[in-house]
Amino acid sequence: MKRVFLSLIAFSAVVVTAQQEVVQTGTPAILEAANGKKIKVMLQSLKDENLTFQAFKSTKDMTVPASKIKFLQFFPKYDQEAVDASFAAGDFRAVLDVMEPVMADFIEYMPIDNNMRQAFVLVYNSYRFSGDYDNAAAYAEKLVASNDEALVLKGKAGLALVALAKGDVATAEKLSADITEKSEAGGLYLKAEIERAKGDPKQAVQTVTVIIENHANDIEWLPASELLSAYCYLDMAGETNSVISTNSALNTARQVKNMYAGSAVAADAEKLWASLGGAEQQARMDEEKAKMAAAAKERKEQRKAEEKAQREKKAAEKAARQAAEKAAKEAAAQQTDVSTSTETESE
Amino acid sequence: MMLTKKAGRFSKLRQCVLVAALMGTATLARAQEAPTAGEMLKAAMQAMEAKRYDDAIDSMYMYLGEVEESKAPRVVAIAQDIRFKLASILLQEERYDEAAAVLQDYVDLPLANKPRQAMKMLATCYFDTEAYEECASTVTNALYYNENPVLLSERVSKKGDDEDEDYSKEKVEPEEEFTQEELTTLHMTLAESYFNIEMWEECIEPFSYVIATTPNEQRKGYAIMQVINALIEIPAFDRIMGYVPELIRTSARYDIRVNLALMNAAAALYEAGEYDSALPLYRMILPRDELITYQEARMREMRIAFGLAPDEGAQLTEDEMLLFGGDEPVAGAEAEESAIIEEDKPKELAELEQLIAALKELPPYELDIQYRMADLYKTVERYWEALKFFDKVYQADPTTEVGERCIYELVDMLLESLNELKEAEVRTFDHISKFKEGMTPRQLAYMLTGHYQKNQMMPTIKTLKPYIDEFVRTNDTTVVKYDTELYFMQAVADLVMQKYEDSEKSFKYVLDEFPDSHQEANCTYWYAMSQLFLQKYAEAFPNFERYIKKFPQDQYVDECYFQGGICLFGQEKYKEAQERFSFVIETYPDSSVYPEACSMRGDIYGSEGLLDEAIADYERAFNSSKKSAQATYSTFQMAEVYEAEEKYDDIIRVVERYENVWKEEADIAKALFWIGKTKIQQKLYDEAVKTYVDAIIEYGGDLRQDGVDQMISELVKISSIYLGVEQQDQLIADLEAARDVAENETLQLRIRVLLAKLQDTEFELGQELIAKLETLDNASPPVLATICDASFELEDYSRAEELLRIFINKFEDSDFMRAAYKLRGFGQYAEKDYEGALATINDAQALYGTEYDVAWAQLLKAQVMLDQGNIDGAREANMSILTVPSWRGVPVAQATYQLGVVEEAAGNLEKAFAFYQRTYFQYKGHARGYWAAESYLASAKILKKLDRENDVRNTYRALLFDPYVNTLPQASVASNYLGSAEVAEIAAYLDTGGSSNITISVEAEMTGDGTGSETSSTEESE
Repeated sequence: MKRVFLSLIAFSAVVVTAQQEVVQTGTPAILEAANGKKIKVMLQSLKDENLTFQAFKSTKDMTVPASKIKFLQFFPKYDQEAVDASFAAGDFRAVLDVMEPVMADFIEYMPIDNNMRQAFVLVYNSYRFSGDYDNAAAYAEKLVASNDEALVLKGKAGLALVALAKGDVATAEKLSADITEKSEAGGLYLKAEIERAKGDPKQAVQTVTVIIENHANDIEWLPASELLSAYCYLDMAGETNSVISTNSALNTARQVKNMYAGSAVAADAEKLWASLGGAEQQARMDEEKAKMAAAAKERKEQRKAEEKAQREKKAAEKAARQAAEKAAKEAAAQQTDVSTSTETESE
Repeated sequence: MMLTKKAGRFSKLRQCVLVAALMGTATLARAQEAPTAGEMLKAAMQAMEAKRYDDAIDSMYMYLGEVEESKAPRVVAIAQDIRFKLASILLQEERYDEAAAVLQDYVDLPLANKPRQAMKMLATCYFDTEAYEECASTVTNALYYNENPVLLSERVSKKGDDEDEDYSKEKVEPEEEFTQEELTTLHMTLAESYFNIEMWEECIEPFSYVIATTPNEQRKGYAIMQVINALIEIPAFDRIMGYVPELIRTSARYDIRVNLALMNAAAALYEAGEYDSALPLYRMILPRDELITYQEARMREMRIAFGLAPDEGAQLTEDEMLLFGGDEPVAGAEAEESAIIEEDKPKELAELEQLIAALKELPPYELDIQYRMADLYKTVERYWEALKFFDKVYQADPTTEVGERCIYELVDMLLESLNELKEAEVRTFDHISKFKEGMTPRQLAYMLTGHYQKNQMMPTIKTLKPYIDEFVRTNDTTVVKYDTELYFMQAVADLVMQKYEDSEKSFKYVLDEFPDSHQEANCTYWYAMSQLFLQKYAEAFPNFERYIKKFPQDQYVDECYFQGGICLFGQEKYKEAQERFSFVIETYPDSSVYPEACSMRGDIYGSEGLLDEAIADYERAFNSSKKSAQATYSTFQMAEVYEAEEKYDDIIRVVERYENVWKEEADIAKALFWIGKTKIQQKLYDEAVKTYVDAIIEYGGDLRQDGVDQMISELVKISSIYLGVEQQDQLIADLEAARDVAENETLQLRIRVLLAKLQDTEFELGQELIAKLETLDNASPPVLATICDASFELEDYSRAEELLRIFINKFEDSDFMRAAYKLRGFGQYAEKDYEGALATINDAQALYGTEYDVAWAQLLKAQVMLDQGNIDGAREANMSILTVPSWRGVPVAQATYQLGVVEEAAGNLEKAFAFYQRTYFQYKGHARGYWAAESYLASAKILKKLDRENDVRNTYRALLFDPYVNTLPQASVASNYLGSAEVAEIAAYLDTGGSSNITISVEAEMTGDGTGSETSSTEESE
């Protein structure tokens, strides 16, 4: 009986423990500490560079400096492929519709390295490309606060671009100086953006050529720089005394679209390309190509047929000649070997 | 791919080897007692241990031959084990063909316990012997087996017929599956095999597997590059771009083979017109030196890793060992034993050395790559990017062929695609000032000249001439052709700038320097035309004739006949000219000069009084007109004839027809001018005034309507001659009203000038315009002329050159231009630019001949010559004025006075006195007595020099007695000389109505032309 009683106590304790697990709140993640140790946690907050979390199955808050955290592994629930596809297609609204609620849980923890940073940059770009500069600036601020040099630069560039979009050239110039210290290509890119904002697209496009020349394989800054070049050509096409046509802008946009396919820049480039009649032009070119190919095929077939006819003609002539020669020989043989034949016949 | 496909390439070889081994066995059997299978096996193992591989191989072959027929599971299992060992040794001995045959048997036969390894080895054999189809088949089988090992054992156990043993119960040690590294290697082998047998699409999947799985960046990059190559071959250019970013991220970018492959791939894409795909590949190609530096560093690391000195031939120092982290140094004999001898260096090291050597042998390719990129950018109209790269290549070496192509492209783009003339000029002048040989400097000069021509920048063309003169001449046909063209364009510039003396010389230069050139015909024609413009009719004529004779089929033959006629006309050979025009009319009815020929012949008929014939020719000209100017000329010439005949209805008829036919192109203002003229003749003054005022208001806003300007002159005339005061006031009121509402500045200025002319306030208006008119862009010829006249009065010559240039460039046919010539001529004289002044005078005289209001030109000419010390010229110039009927009056008065000045300067005081005296005797009524007064003073001066003090006094007295001059400022000189008492006496005398008859005689030789001598004395009678 005593055993039964003890068993009941143990059972009730298990039930209580199960009930305690249910009430735990926060953002679930695997936290990797600087020493490599990993633990399951429920993140509570990141304030003043301190991370507060609860260990899995515990309601006790623990706070550690964010600098002691190496990585956070989140478990977002969304169709990443579909989001990437929307982004590649330039449908930034669709990206935001999905990602805004998703990112809400993670956005706070972006200063710490984590597996949602790429998605975060994607959302940031979606805001920027869709013209939502306030949200873009908020995201850019988070990037600036991150511990990743590349993201910090990206964030500063984003803030500068937002400033430019709002006509605040002075702020953009200040940020540009910061970026130049860390990345020549990044600095040049912003310089070009500022030059364009100041109404000097010709100078801007020349600055871009320096990036192309000296940072030809910089996949961080070159795509945006080349797209900027397309916009600069478009600006110049409208200028007095300029002989630049929209073809330059259209071709540059097409190249950016093709060279950086799948990227945000490519999506933006595709929009520009389409707005300049690129799709129609491409269709015309494809049609022209198809026509040429068909014509070439027809010519080839015609040539083949002609060659065949020629061969047949030659063969027929040869056969006729051989037949004639044979007949002539036979005739000659009949005439010259009359005696032999006669002899043979007589034999 | 299923396992059923078997590689059978080595079946015959296998048979031969076995036969040879068995024959060897048979021979041995005859020689001695044959060993048993067990002994053979033992011998093979012993030979293996002793590293006598050839013996081991022989023994193994013998053993396998001995047991080949056996189906006993244990024997079969041992035989399989021996096959595996035999294959391993054969591979080690690089006897790949034999190894392949043995391994194929091993795989095909039952109880193989290492089929995966065997298939892997077999694939290596096939690959190394370039049996790629077999290799691909083997790898496919291996990969399939790796996933489905049961199938093979089933196949083997079910393979035989009833006689075969059942091996399924035999215990076969399970073999481990391929590791990831092995799988990657197998996929690489498969991909490479497919690639080598040009199965492009098939190779992409295994390469993609390698790209996805290999941790080796070099290998990954290589695989990506191979995929790109395959996609080019398919061709599937649109799929290439997906692989490029991935390639950029790998360190394979530094792989020599990858770079070489990138070059080939990019070139292939470039040739196929796939610029979007070619561009990123070109961008990835690393400069040769950078690549060599990187790979040499890598080679040093490899050498150290292999225990070699970093550089070949050197010893690895302890420091280097420490620095580069090589293995711990091994001492003594062990070190010698373990060190790798240079000759036996590892395969990958040797390969890398070879690649670096090959790379070093390559000529630098960067410039070519950059040139192609530039060209590619240009093709897709990314001009600024193209500019950057063309410039980079050019700056690297401007003297190479590619460098020269670049500067050509640069200038071409700057001019044609970017409209950056200044930059194009900087680059062109920089290049042609440094490089003066060959085609490129000429091409650049040609391009720039072409651009200047197209944009009417003729004076700028001439800035190229000093450079062209510096070009080194050669006999190269193309170079000579360029030189010809460049000098021809220089001459054309002179011609268009109306610098006909220069163009005459320039065309002559081309004809002399480049005889029989492609431009000879054109040069001949324009050379003659230049002479024609200079009115060198006699010189131009034979050149037109030369053209006709030498180039009878060329484009200007009809023009030459016609212009030859103009030359004859200019030489006053009217009959011959008429014949020439008749020839053109009959021979070239469709020619562009036909209407002109008709008009010219009409003019001749007209001058001969054959007005009907003239009208008939003008009609022909009108009917055949191809340009409005031709119709305009013939129409208004007809109007002139009809005016002479007072056939005003005909004037109306031809003018209205002209308006109807030429509509917008017609010179409506001119037409209205004639209609107005007709109305005047019909005494319909009010109508005429209304026609003119309406036309001025309607067309006066258009700067080019010179008919409006004619109307302004005509209205002034009508107003002063035919209108009463009331009508004049009405006209002024109407014009003021129109002026006040006019928004168009050109119209407003025209009306203001007209009003000034009517109200005699031109000078005041001119002053106002000089001060307030910011730009002359909207000023029509009468406005400009008003400014010129006011400036002349003010002796302000600061804008003289500009005003004349505006006339020449914009209103060369305007009659108002003479005012600009006058201002310019006197301006140059004031600046003591005597040659310039004479040139301006010549131009003015060429245009206006001996018209009254251009007499200033001849007077100024005489003055200039005098200032130059050319006494004879000055004398002749002044004398010529006396003979021109149209210059009678003030010009003659001034000329006579100036003759006095000339003679005074020549020291002929008596003659000078005579001219002065003639001036105040004969021309005191002209110029309000100005020249007479001046002559009195000049005479007194002469007399003083001759010490004839009494005559001086009498001359001054005569001046004060002379009512034409005694109130002019010059009279004060006489008054001061004579004193107040005498002046008062003369005044009192004049008040009584008296007059003087003072005569002063001076001896002077006078000739019939007025320059001779006569004897003079002073007589006075009062």
